[in-house]
Amino acid sequence: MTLRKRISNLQWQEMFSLKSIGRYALSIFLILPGVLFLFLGFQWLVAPESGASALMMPLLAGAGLNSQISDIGGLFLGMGLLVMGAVTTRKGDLLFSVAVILSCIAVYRVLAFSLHDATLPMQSIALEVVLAIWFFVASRILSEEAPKDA
Amino acid sequence: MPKKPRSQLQKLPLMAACGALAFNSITFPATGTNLDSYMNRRGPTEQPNVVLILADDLGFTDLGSYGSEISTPNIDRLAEQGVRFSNYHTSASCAPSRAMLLTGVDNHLAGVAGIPESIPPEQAGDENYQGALSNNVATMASILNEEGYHTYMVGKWHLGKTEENLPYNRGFERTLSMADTGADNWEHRPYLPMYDHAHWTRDGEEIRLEEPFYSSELLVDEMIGFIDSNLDDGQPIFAYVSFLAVHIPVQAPKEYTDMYMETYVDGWEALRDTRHAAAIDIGLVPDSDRVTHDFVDDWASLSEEEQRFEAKRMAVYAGMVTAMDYHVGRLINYLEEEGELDNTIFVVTSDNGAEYSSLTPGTIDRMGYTHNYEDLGEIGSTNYIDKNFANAATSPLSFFKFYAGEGGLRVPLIITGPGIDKQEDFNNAFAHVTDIAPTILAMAGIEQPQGRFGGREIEPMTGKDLTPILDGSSDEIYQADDYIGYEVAGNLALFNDGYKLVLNRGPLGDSEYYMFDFVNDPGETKDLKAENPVRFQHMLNLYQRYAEEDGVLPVPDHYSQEMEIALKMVQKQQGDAIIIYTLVGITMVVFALFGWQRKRLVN
Repeated sequence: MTLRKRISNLQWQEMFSLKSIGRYALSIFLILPGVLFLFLGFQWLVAPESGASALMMPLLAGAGLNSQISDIGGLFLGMGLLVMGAVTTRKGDLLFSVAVILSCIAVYRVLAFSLHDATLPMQSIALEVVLAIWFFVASRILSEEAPKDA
Repeated sequence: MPKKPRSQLQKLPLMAACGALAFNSITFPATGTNLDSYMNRRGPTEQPNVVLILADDLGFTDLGSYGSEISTPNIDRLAEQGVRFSNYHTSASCAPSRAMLLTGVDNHLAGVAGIPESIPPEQAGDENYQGALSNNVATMASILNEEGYHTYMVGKWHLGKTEENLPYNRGFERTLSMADTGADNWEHRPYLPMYDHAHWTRDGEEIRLEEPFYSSELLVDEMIGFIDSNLDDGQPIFAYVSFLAVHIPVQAPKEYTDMYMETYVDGWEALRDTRHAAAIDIGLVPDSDRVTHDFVDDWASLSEEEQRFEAKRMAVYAGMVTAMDYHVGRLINYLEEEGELDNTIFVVTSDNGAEYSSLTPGTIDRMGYTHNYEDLGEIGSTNYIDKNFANAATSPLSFFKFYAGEGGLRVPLIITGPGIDKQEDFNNAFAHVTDIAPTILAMAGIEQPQGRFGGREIEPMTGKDLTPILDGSSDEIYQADDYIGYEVAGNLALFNDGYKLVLNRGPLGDSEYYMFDFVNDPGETKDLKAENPVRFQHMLNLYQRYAEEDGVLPVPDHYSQEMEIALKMVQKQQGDAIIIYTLVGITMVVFALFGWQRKRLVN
């Protein structure tokens, strides 16, 4: 039996309704940064020198190297898993967590610049702020649609 | 600091003396009169210290005493007191040169047919093509150490990264070594994406260097520390200082670069002219022509801004040479202050001719480097000279590093110290990199091992003892029937009786054989193969014999050393990327399956 035959007309209408298209679009725009986070997380595990280079930092040795790989790699991997989990389960709280983490990172970047004369990487901050806002918005959307799906 | 345990022989001097005497009579038969002559000339003095200074990619005319505009007063001071060779040849690639330098054996027989980064898969299984020093050779450090020398090594090693191949396990008591082709001079980081990290080790243990440092300063500091730690025990010293200068990344402290900001504004053609004239003037080369390579760009075709940038690139290069010289001076001064200078032999040379490099903006970005005019060669900034200025750094010779032209193979060699006659003019005798180890052993009064060393069979040294040249008792060591073959990455040469057979592959060579009179025509301008076909055939036959005797394998069709290195860099990056994307893909599939299952349950 073909897939087409298995799906009723009602289901077809539901699949191509505006609401469904919006859900797919939301998923795609969440999956893209999620994949990026996963990539960065695994990059720190497989090729930490590339990860360090991408973040404009030297690769440390010994315990410092361990902290670099685990803290930074774990952070990206964790965020990637949360985003993918949110897409899969449609739970907005997971995205909210990622948004909070990204916001904290952006605030700390500004504080590092202000208090310790660290270089201010404007591009990174801009990306983090944009993603944090997007995840806040997406978490609201998912939260609003959750009761209907439940 | 960890101390390498000394051998039983060294712990028991009296037994050692007796044992060594008996052992030597069996294993080390006397090999000639050169050693006796040199030692008689020196008289019954203590064994000399030996300081072997190896610059990386230093061109034929990059030293002041070799006609350069670059200031190298300390090395020049050594040159003034000893012998400057005008006709010394090495390999055109770093690792093969280093293998021959330390063992006195052809690089193929020593397992280092080429740099490991350039060996194609077709050759990689052969024992001569491991890119790491084989166990069938003994380094002169091992031999000297066995005979009571303290042996210290700092700097670039590039003869293997595995534990058994590190210098600490190849005859050096104390080491601070870097195993790759090069590394950053300011920070503990690699300079090319093919390396995970900069492989620095101290006494065999991988370490992280304290930053920032400057490589030449760091290496000399470390060497002085090594020497100082055992200075009072009366044992002679073998110190191998293998600078990172002036290998890519070409980096120098600003104050040294500033010395040359106006020096190269007239471009590479003017520099090649100037150095050629100076080389003739000081007697480094005969009054002869030089090649003008088609691949050299026209300086005048560059915009003012491009000229300014190129001139600064070369200024950093010159600054790096001068900085290295300054730190050589610190080592000389230290030995002088400690009263060791008069009993110290210095050997100063380069592993090959000047290097031409080319880094893409993508590679520079990927490595996190800048490449801007303002801070060129300073911390965080990579730099290199390309084929144009490299061609000037080897003036008046043809080609440069990697190529078998004289610019790749012929480099400075200075030997000075006790028992060595000061020679005002350049010594024009042919000399080869495999001669250095036998010469140092002879100057130390130590016979070469014949076939066995350290309980294993080894390749006997094929280089010749140069001491008859150093003490003025002979003009030439190599006779008309002697020949020296050379092959790395398919570029090949053969030296015999004043003639040179040479073939250079692409991208800059044409894969054609040429024959030159390299004594009277060092610029390799006049091909003699049509004029003297009998000799040409003889040279081809000798090369064939060399290739068979030393296990030279043919390179695959369309092989290019540069392409092989580039391919390995891409493979390294893509290999990591494939693993990362696979992990991401697996994660995505797991989530997709989870989502699908969840949806089924909900429905």
